[in-house]
Amino acid sequence: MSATLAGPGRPLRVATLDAQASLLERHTRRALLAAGVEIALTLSAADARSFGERAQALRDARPDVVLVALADRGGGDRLALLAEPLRFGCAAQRPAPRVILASSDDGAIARATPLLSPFAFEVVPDVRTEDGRRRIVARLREGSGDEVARDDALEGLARRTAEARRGPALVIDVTGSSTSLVRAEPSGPFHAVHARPLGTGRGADRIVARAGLDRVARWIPWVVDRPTLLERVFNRARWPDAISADRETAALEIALAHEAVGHALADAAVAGLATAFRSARTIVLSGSLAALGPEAAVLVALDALEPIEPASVVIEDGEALVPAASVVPVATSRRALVRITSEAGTREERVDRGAFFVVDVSGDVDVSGSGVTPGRVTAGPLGLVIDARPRPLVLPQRDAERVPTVARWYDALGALAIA
Amino acid sequence: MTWRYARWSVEHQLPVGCAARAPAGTQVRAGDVLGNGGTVTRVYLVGGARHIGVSPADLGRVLRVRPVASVRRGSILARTGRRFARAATSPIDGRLVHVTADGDLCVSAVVDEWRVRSTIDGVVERSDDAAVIVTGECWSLQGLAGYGPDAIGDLALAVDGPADPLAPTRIDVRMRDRILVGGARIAAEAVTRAHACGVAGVVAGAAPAGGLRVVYGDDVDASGGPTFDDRPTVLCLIGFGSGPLPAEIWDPLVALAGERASIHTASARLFVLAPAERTTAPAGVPKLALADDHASVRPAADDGAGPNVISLDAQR
Repeated sequence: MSATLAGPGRPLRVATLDAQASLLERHTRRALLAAGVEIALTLSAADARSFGERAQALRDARPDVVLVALADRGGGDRLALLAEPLRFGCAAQRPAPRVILASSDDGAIARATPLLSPFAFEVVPDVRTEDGRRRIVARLREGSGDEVARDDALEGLARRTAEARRGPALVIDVTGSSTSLVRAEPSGPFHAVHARPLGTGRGADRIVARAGLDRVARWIPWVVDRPTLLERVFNRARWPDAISADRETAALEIALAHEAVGHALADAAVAGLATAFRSARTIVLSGSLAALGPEAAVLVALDALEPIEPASVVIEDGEALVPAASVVPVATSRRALVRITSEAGTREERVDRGAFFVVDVSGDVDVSGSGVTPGRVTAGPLGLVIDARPRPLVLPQRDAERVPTVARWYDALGALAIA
Repeated sequence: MTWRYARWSVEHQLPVGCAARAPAGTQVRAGDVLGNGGTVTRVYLVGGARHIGVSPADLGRVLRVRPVASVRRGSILARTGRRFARAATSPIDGRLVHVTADGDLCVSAVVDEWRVRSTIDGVVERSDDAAVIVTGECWSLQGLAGYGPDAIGDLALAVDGPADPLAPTRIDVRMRDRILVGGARIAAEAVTRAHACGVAGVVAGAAPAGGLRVVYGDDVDASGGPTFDDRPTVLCLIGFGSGPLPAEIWDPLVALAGERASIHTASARLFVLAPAERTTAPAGVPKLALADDHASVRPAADDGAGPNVISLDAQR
């Protein structure tokens, strides 16, 4: 079976035919996110669109690969509702899409074979199995462009960090057109989400299309003119490697990074992985996110990820990992007492619900207290960030309330220092 | 990229449900119909192979009509036997659009007709249900993003200079079927007025992104893309917001005014169907600078340099 190569800078476009979405969607999504492909279209048997509309959607999507996951013969029967629009819409596409059929059920495979007959297809094991997902990821990565190398590097970084620090490590990477979350444990489960095309550069307009302009604008600590903001986003999306030269564009970049990480995490939630990503002892920030500066990068990680346990945050700087800060989430309904033990001694901080501030400590720090998961973290130059904001983080709707709230968070860390 | 006279292959994508298309080798002019068909929505599934007692693979032998063909209610779609005939008939007036893998027949009502027209003069190089590719020689200018359906018409200047915005007051029905050249900016008001006056398309340095959302909907993005419905056609040449055109782009536009032209939105290209000697390609390539606040694009000075300055043909 020949590989379909995506062009340079263009991720592999994949359409999924979810004949048994309720059973398999979570596993299918997990495989696609790990492969780092662009999910061009998801068609389920419950889709309300007509036959013609489904076929047109598939033709417009121009998928390089179509993934079909089936659990049993019943799924094979339901596949007809989706495979016929595929035959009608994409049979004439050049090059024709490849089909990956993920199923271990002979009856399902037998039923699907004639339905998918115009296309070259390969059968891999059930998507619910580790082997099936691994095979899908491998096949999809074979057909992807040079971005796979970065995904591999990030996964290697997460593994090395987890082993070196003997605890779960999470790498958050944002580039112009991709956002990755990779979590590894020293010797255990490994999860990766490479969301494309979500990024702060070429993928900026896709973030706005997906999240909405208001959700991007809400992270900017002043009132912003929406049409002008959209102009900036569009120009940024079409300008290779645009560099933020002033306060407005720096704030836009931070806002886009917030939504990029937030949506990658939302994708992870669909795949059943969000909780795992929120729990890591070491958080590594890299790519454009690291280039924002440690203050802004830590703010983005805290706001978008909403970690649930204390973590050390480090920034990738070339080959080195530079400590930036440590974060201590505090879950409290009114007030909590956080105990911080460092080389300098033990101190206690009274923390009100909603508080967000930095404690000036350095080196290895033990934290404990009510509403705090006890643990040891390493504080960097930024110190120890105490975060007792309610979860999930909800921003006020009205600018008169939102602006001072967001500005207070920026000020607490010194993010957007050029202001 | 900048102005270039060359041989181009232009892919004209077809919607699903193509009933007829120009075969490979056909000589076409810009504006000629390359393919036509009907919008397919809901289909009626007519029992085919199993109903008339043949295998799906053999159904082709006994089909009386082929996809995509018009049928009347009661038309025989497939039939077997002589004295004790078994037949599949159409339940509606419409088109037989598809035969399923199981040998059933999909008949769709014709709710809307579409036509795809060539955007250049040339020869059909490839023709299938997905696309018709036409190859021909003409002038071309690569833009940044195109929106709406392809447009064909005479090129006409609608501004006095490359830094002028296209004012809605300068657009009237006398500009019907033309491709208007705006300067630095075309606002949503100008786009919608042009469409209402029957203008084929509008080309300018930039369009406000918010205006594009007003015209094309909230899911519009910076890459643009073709549509087949009745909407305005807009080609942004260098950016969004405001984008005064550099002389390397503007001067040939002035020289080629009055010639037949087209906008191919899928590739974001302006084609001008004029002979090579009609003008000369600019000697240099323009340098563009993204404004510090990223809200506009402008020509950079010749010796301009900086993080957000690019040379068009080097990186785009």
